[in-house]
Amino acid sequence: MTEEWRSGVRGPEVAGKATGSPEVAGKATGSPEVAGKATGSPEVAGEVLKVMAFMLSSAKLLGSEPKSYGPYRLIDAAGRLAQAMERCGLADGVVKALAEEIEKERYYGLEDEAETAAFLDRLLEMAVSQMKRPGAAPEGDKPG
Amino acid sequence: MRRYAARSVAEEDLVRLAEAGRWAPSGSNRQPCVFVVVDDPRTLEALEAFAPGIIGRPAAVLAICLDRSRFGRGESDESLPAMDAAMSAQNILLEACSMGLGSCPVLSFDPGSVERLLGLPADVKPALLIALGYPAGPVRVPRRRPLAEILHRNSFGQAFPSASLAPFADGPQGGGSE
Repeated sequence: MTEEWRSGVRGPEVAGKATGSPEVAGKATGSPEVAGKATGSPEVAGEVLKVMAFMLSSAKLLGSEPKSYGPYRLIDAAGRLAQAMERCGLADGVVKALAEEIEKERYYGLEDEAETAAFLDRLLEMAVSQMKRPGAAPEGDKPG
Repeated sequence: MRRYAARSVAEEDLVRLAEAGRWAPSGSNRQPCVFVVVDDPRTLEALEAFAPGIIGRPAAVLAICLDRSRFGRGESDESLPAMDAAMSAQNILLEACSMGLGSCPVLSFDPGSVERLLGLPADVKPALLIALGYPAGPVRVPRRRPLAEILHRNSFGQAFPSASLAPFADGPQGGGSE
């Protein structure tokens, strides 16, 4: 592990690519105000890198782990991403609500497929409700 | 146990846990286990990124590693050193429980990333991580198969009648994991 990782800073060019674009931030949050807070932030780049490392490590390990770990790792990744957004001041109401829901379940695991499916349905309903709100997604993002 | 309180574990307690691990038996008494305790918050955060099996925010992680230079010459079977690591882990888990600490053994981690993160020498490989911390609340003890279902006497399938009278039929209080 490099000192670069330890410092949580990946360089301004990486931070800029990840967060510096109002277009990217706007799509994610719909708030120019939030986009401004994110611009050029090394904290955001560090947080994103941690979530990416988690997802990549999971991808490597899941090939030899029980099948049931797959959904759980993806749910955990979504929770980690939401928490990272909260720490960076990028989370809106629904992201915070999703983070809370995931946080409630993540310590206990999801013991059967039906329970996991019901839990995911609840999370997806929260997400889709938010995305259906007028102005939530730019014109170009409408499904074709 | 995965829900940890935001409370650090004292250095002497971490040493005590490693001491418990040190006294575990090992094949031919080769003692291949070495321990790396991680309690620096930044290193812990990085470790969590490469160890998806770490759930929650433990106060510390004790990495049980195997020093291959202590393996037998030409030894290629990894099962014996793995047993050594597991026996050391069980000592640590029991000691942690006796100290009021929660713990969770973790095998879901990327070994190469953990090696680099912890600066392990070439001969030393991570075998198991043990997440440690004080429980944030009551611990939910997971169910276990009934003893009468798994205990046999003299030959498989022969019942052991008093197994149904086992003292922990519903699980020991305060132990286990969630």
